Amino acid sequence: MKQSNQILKAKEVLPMSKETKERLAEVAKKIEGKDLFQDKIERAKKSLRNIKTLPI
Amino acid sequence: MNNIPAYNTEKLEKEADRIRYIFESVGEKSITKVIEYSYLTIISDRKVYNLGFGDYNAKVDDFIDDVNSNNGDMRKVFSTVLDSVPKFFKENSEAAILVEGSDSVVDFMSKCEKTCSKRCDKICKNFNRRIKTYRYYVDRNFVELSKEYLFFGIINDDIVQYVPNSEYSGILVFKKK
Repeated sequence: MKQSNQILKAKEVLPMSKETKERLAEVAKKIEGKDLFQDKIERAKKSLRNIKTLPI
Repeated sequence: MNNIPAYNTEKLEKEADRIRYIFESVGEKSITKVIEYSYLTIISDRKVYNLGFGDYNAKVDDFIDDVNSNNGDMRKVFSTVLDSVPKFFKENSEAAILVEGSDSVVDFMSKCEKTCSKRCDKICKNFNRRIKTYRYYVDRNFVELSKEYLFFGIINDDIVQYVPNSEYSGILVFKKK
């Protein structure tokens, strides 16, 4: 169980500079409360609209 | 363990129906990217979230999720998205994730044609590219991943047991209890 979790988890995470953190914080403020992927979400809802239970 | 280096992500403040991670892709240029898990519906008493992913375009102050950035770091970006999955499940162990490609929609090919440098003949090489990338990863690591996760395939708006090396338009991932 532990091993499979490690498959998705990256062995090496690249460090983030202070400047990058600041740039990202600015973008984060701009997108707060905004719907970024509205079309995609609607399509996803459509894909699942008939599925209520799992086939198991 | 995923041997491809991943970018460090910042988790944004949780909003009611979504969880976001933000990071910067550093290749030919620097691009801000967002990974978003958005609540969709409930299946078998589990909340299902859509995995969304896109580039922030500072010029128009908006996000784009259906273009290829061609920033030369596709593997790192993919690894970063994969790396967010255990983080998501750590805080939402009862939830499920739906993965679909934004390049799998009907009008993608006509949109792609306008800007693509590939000289595809009749079949657009970028069509379904994203879901194929996810499927390829799941197929290659299916045995190990199945120890902790349950996979289902979406096909023609129906859900089926995930069988490696099969065609699906989407993948639904549950964490085993």
